[in-house]
Amino acid sequence: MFNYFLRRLIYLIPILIGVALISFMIMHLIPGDPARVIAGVGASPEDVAAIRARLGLDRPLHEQFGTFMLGLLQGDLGRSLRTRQPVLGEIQARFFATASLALFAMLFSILISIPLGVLAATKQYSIFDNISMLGAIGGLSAPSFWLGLMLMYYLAFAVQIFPPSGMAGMPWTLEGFKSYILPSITLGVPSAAMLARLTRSSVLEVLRQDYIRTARAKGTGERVVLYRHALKNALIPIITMAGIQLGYLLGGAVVVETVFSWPGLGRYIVSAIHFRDFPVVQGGVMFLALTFVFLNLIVDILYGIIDPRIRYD
Amino acid sequence: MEDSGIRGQLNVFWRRFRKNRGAVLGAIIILITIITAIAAPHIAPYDPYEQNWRNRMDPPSSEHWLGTDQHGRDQLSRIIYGSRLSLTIGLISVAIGLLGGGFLGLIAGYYGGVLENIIMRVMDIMMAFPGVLLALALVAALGPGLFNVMIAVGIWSIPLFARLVRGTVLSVKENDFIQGARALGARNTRILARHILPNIVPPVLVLSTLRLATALLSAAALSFLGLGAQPPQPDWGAMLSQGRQHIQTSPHLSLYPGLAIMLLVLSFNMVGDGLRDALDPRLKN
Repeated sequence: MFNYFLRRLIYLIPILIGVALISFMIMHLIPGDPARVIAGVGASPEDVAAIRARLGLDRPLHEQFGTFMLGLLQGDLGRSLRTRQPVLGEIQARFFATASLALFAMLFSILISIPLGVLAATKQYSIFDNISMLGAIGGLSAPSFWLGLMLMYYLAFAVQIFPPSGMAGMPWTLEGFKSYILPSITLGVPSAAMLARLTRSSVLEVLRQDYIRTARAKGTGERVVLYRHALKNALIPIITMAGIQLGYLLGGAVVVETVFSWPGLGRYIVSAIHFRDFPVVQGGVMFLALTFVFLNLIVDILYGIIDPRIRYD
Repeated sequence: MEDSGIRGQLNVFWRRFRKNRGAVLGAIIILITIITAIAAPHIAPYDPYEQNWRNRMDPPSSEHWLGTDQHGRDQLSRIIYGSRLSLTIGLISVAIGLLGGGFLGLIAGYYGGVLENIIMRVMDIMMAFPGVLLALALVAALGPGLFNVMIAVGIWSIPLFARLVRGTVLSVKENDFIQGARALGARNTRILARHILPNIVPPVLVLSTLRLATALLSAAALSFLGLGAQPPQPDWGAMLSQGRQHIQTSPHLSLYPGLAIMLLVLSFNMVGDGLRDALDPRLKN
């Protein structure tokens, strides 16, 4: 187990360097001269040169990447061109809003998808099964920004149950909790749809196993067979997928946060793109990608803990 | 002989596919969308760019079935024309992913060794960006616009195709008929073209169809964020983005473009599911 963990950590190093390299290249992919883009249309050649020197853009590319990596190791992601504040500080200030939203969305999708998937599997080919699986594929197909707007219209404007946008406070306060609901549902629907489909197929798969047939042959009640024997094993791939989905929710937050004016990292990155604040885009994208990579590592390790059949050697 | 073999396989495939009513319905909706896109100038009741300030944000009526937008333009006509953009975006971005990823996967799977290692590690790195984030970062660098969105979404799809093609090549490569062809002196290019490529087609077809759905959703999301189609292009995502500002008073501006996106994405997803079940029944459920 320890060896596997160590191997995974070593394997992570090139991935982390690669993520940093791709994020770094964002700055250098800009067609033309990034310094000119940053300086604006009416800037003089002296201004452009000053910006180029300030950002180190006049140095060779490998040297710039070296400085970038060195800064990264010291937790320095540069400064925002707009606010002049350190990018890492700005990211940290917004990460709670994004991470807590992703967690709420995951909670919502688990609460909806697992009962739905189990019921659909136990009533395979029934009307309930057909409707819930059609609903699931619909949930995978609905654009989250559209779903968010519709929820906002019907539940915040037409029937004023929830606030239409913004984060009204911490989730443990009533107002704060209410403000989490619509964005969490919007963000969680695609994951719920995916998990419901996976739960159904996973339960069906387990119900076909010999040990289930044996349990039934011994006269065990259907409820016990399902909850005591089948679900326990069927849950393994579902938990793994839920972990991976949590990482994807961080990416999805970019869109949902914009719809609900949520003060998170996703909306911050989108607004930075519009202002051409490249250090923020670079730092923000890299931060989310690194979080995703580490989440996947944790899922991999947990997978081995919940399923003792997995051998790491 | 070979012909009847392929025809027989196609018959089996068609029998299985048409049993899936959802997939058939999805295929019909896609066909209708394609016809709508081609015949847009003949079907659309109004010019999608024609502004009419007296009819701003009118709700659906007998004159304007889906109402008008903030510039008084007919929503139905804009949605009809928007199908052209959506289909183009989907097809081009999936083509970029398929060609790029297919080529890399083929090389990695067939030749193996250091080349495979390098290619697949780069693919791993590209997959380390969750969701639409890599496409978003690429558009941030390339600048807003539909063309750049297509490139970004296309590049984002490359690792998925590369992984699938590599995996399929690795499993096909071990078959006796490949060893036989090699023993008979067939060259690598001939083995790849005659023996390996045909075996890759079914899984790639399924992934392409499902990826079309994802590409449509992602491109619409980028347009919604203001990074894709620019006004006054009748793009469904951009229409939603403009409708967002009037969601409280005129929800129809957001409702219909969103329904159009959902219907087309749903159709591609259902056809993708149907293709997968028909081409590989073991994967059913």
